[in-house]
Amino acid sequence: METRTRPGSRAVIAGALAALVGTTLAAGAAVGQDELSGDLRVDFLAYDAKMQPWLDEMKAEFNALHPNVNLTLEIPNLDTYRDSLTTQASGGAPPDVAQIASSWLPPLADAGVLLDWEEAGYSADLLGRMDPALRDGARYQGGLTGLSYGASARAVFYNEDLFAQAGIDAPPATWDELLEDARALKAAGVEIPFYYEGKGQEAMAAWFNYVYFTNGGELVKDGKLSVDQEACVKGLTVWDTMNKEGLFQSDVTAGTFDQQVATMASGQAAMTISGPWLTGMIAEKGPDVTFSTFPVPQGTNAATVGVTDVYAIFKDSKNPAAAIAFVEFLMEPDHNLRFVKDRGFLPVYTEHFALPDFQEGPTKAFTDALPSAKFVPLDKNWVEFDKIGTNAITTMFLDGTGPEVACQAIVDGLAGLE
Amino acid sequence: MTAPGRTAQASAPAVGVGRSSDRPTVPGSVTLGRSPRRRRRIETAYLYLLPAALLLGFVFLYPTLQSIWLAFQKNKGINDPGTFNGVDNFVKLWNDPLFWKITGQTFLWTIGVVGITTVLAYLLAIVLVQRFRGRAIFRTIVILPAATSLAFSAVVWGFAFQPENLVNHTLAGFGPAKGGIAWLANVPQAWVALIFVGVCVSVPLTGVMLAAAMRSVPRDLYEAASIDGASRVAQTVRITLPLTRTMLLITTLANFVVCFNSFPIIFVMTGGGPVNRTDILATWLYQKGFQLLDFGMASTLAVVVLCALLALSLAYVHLLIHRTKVG
Repeated sequence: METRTRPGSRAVIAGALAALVGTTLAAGAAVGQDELSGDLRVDFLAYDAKMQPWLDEMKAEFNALHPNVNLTLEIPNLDTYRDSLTTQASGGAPPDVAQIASSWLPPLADAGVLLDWEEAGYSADLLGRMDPALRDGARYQGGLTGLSYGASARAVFYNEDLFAQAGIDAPPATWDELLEDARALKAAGVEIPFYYEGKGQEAMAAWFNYVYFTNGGELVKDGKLSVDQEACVKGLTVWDTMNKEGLFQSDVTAGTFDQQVATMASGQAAMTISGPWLTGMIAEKGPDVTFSTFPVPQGTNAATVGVTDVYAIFKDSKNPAAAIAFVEFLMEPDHNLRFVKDRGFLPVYTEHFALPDFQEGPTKAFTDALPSAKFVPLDKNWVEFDKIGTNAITTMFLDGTGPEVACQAIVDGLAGLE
Repeated sequence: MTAPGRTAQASAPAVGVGRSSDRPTVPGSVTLGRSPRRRRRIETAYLYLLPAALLLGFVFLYPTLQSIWLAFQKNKGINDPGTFNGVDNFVKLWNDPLFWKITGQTFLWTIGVVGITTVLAYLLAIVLVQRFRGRAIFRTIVILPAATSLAFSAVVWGFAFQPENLVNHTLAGFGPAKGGIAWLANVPQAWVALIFVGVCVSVPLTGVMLAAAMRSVPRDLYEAASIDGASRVAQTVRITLPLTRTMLLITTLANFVVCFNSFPIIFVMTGGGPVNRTDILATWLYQKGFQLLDFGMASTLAVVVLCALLALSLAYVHLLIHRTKVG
């Protein structure tokens, strides 16, 4: 028996089918708006106590857009973060994305565990709006394995009242002048003429480079890590002299970042070198202290140290699409601007440099210094070189062996690296 | 005089395994000579042991064998497949003055902690076995530090030893710490701080173990000595010390093995610095492996430490067996 469908029924069925197709397409469009789902783990550097509230807000805002993405945002212990990240990467279980120091990139990139942001499909628009020097400074062997999200340059902070007390009219422009001013401060009874962060993680990346770069030193020669012994000796002579004359705090190798902030904020220390974040920290902890900044003094030339930290995305990421979307969200100019301002960083987007936040007040000195800043080279041997140099400089301070011996140890150590 | 426990053991009827082991056996025919029931029991016993053995094999044996294999390789960097280089790593280590310096520091740390711990723990044990009001509370307080994680203790002590913190504030009234001693900034003061913390975390458990040994000394010995007019000190030296000697040796050796390989206190408080001056082999190994990514050299170092600890552990096991036989 043949079943026939009445014409009227056909129309009803056709209508129902059309409605079904329409509904499916509409649903597909909705899914298309929120096609991201799954777990996503991102590690962040422990910059300050405000990081967690910021992360909580970012997570809530991102999940409002992409409710199906299960975000795990972690702030690991900074002291052991690099070691644990390396172990996770070599074990095939890294986070999807991590904030890291740019100097950590080479060993990870050499091991082939990182994705190139450009090849992974990161927003070309956002990349195009970045300061080209800061963006391309995170390129390693041609690949954009690091995505700069904040920068810093360094300058000298000084206590204006203590300078006045010592009869110093104008901040020093050269290392010789700084030495004279430190002596004058000591003679005027200032407890710590200059605070030196001898125990921090920046012994080589920053403190060595302050005096090395400004005495003509370069860290790369013929594409390889290199140390100019003459510039090294000239530079380290400044630190060695200051240490021997008691112009630093006592026990210079115990000097920490926390104590640097505390002694500047309490008015015990007259000078130190740091990044723009110290401005807010001194203001917060020592509101009565009047301070200002001046450029890192010159030796044979003017220079300062620049630093960028970057986002790295791992090849083992189980959710690269969500990872890229989340980083694009964090790197939206408004979100990124808030992040760099909260941390006291300099921006990475060209459009942000013109803002009053970076063109007025103490931060301006850092903004002005950034174009001439020299960055730590991206080299696979940097970590080992950093350790060699840190040991050599620490030994110079502890044993009084002198800058020649320290520089020779650095040069010899570097020669022993493959 | 024979201790009551020994008499009871000697006169106890032989049961179970003891009965079978009395049976004369022919070398090479041990299994064949056993009854099927006994064989089943042995098989069942091995079956029960299997999960633990597999777990131990996975957790300890596999990494150990992997480390031994890596020790003969040049393997540097993440995901480096490595190349076999024979005993080059061992030769390099042997010729490295830093290795010998750090080995010396390892012994300084170990002997310092174990030596002081042994003396203090013994004195503590003497106090613990005394009868006095609030003894239970005192014992609880004493054992509490042993229940705290080493890393946590190290973090707290590391903070306390910062120049501006607790230790210097406490010492300020005595004069030498005025102006602040940077305890962890250089040696020898860093070693003083580290060994102090090492002793603090080792004494409680060692003291409790020694106290347990002291309680097993028959009281009639002390009563007899008292009647003979022996002083408390003489009783300790002539009775307690000889009769707890084995436990003293065992705890000392156990502490030596643990301390030799102890990582958290030094890693957290000084990180081995400044300039490797407070490094021990365990912390140096970490630096080589996880900071410099030189997994070949780190494994070589691990094998050397393993051999040293194996020798100590064998001595420990030998002592344990000897003590069991004596007991």
